[in-house]
Amino acid sequence: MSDIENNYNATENGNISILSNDTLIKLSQMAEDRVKAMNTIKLHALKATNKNDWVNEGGKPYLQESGSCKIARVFGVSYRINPPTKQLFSDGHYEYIYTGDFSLGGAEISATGSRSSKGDFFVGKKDPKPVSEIDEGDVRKAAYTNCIGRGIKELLGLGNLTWDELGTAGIKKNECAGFEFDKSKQEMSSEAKDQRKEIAKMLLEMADNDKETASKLLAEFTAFTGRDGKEIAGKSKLEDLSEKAIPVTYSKIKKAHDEWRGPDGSSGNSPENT
Amino acid sequence: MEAQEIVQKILDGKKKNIQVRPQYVTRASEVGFPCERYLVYSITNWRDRQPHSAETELIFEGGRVIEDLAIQDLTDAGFKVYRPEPDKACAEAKPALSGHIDVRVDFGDGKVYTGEIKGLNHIDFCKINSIYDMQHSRKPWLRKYPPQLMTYLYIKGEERGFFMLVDKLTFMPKFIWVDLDLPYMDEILQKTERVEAHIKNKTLPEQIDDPEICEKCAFAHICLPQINRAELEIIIDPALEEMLARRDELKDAASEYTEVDKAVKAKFGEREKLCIGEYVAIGKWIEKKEFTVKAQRYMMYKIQKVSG
Repeated sequence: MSDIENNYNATENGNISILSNDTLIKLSQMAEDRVKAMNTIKLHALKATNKNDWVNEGGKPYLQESGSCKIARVFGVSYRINPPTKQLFSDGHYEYIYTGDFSLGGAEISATGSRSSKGDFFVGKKDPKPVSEIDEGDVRKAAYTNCIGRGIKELLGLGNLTWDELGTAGIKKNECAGFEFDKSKQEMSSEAKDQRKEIAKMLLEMADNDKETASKLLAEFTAFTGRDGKEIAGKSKLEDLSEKAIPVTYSKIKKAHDEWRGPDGSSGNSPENT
Repeated sequence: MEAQEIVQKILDGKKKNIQVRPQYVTRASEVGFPCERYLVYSITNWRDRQPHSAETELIFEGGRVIEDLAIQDLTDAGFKVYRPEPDKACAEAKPALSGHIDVRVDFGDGKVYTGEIKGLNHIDFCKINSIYDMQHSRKPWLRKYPPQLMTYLYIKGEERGFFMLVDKLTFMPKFIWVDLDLPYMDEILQKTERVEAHIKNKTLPEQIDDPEICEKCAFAHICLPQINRAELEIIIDPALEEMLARRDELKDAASEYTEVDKAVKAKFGEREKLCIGEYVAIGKWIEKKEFTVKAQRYMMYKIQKVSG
């Protein structure tokens, strides 16, 4: 047992006694050393990959299975994948689901990977193939690969890396294959569209039908303070609001609009003055 | 179009050429593969084979180009070169093996020798000088070469064949003569027989435990091998870290010292007593006894500094 472990003195009722200052310092030093080591390992692991292992998915780096396996080799991830299950759908399509157990340094997680024959990759986007023309083996292999990729990424916490972090390993966004989501073409749900219309209506009402004022009001309602304490500027155009941001903005503006109208429904001042 | 998009289009084009074909017997080019379970799956589950990647297809295509170039080199040198059709003898062999001999050459002694042409990267090309080097390579595809050629020699009843290796960097050829090794061939035949027996009895050989092979296996998704790896250990040892940093600092100086020391000794020749400026060098003959190095296993480390 280490010195540090010896300082965890369990009392008779099972409580842990307070650690000594020396122990705290040691623990803190150990934590720092571990963080340093983990950063070294992370960088070493990223350097094991190359631009072909990463895809730019809607502006974010996505590690493909080829890269996950390379990183798993660096860390020494062990895994076992279980036989797959096949789920049949009423339209003749099917889905393969693999589960697996992934372990490293005493940590173990289970992960699931799946692929459906309905996926664009198998059916095709332009002239969708009938299910009979889809190679079932391809669907199964893709599900297996998906399970390995997900398990490794989950175990090592590689899901949320940034391009800056990848840059330290020499991987650049513009050299990776991929695509950016075209925000203007993204299909929005009808509920979000309705809420967006309602937001426009309420803002114009509160701005006495002055578009410029309505735009300023929108910017005020959508501004917020970031985690780092910095003020994040709001959006002045409705079309810049993401589907995720619409319900939040809607409820803020609805509340302000209700207050502006007053309890009897008569219109009042702009939210700036309330 | 972005440069990356162009490359992607080329790779997509290559993907169209990749096909998984039926397989009925063990291939001579695969019989040296270390996993017998893979050899069984290759026949019983050929439809399940994961097609190789577009990048690998490029390497295969490059290999075919090198084969053509090598044959042209042999022809230009004035040797009689034969490019055999798929050999009937291979298909009729017992146990059954399929294969395609690259080339047969008469180098001028009236005999025709069976040969395999292999394009290798520069490092492997320099390292590989015998079939022993191939058999003991870390790379499984290099280990497959000797059984392939040996199988052709056995089937054709020939005692000698050759590897023509081509450096993919310089296109320099290298020849390795290979003599038929019957005990070695017997092991290959026994392996083929075991594979045939499993296919006949609808059984599977045991899984192997080699992550390097299993992870890249085309049948991993049906074999479901357990991948066991040694974990990366985090060592918190500031003294060791300092030593590594110092080691790094001294590395260049050490290399330079070795180089200069060698150059100095070369200039001394075998003169026993020398005075050079402020230096005096006295030589002494050292008799080194002959000894045999015992076979041993040791860990070789590649140490590198990881920095951003």
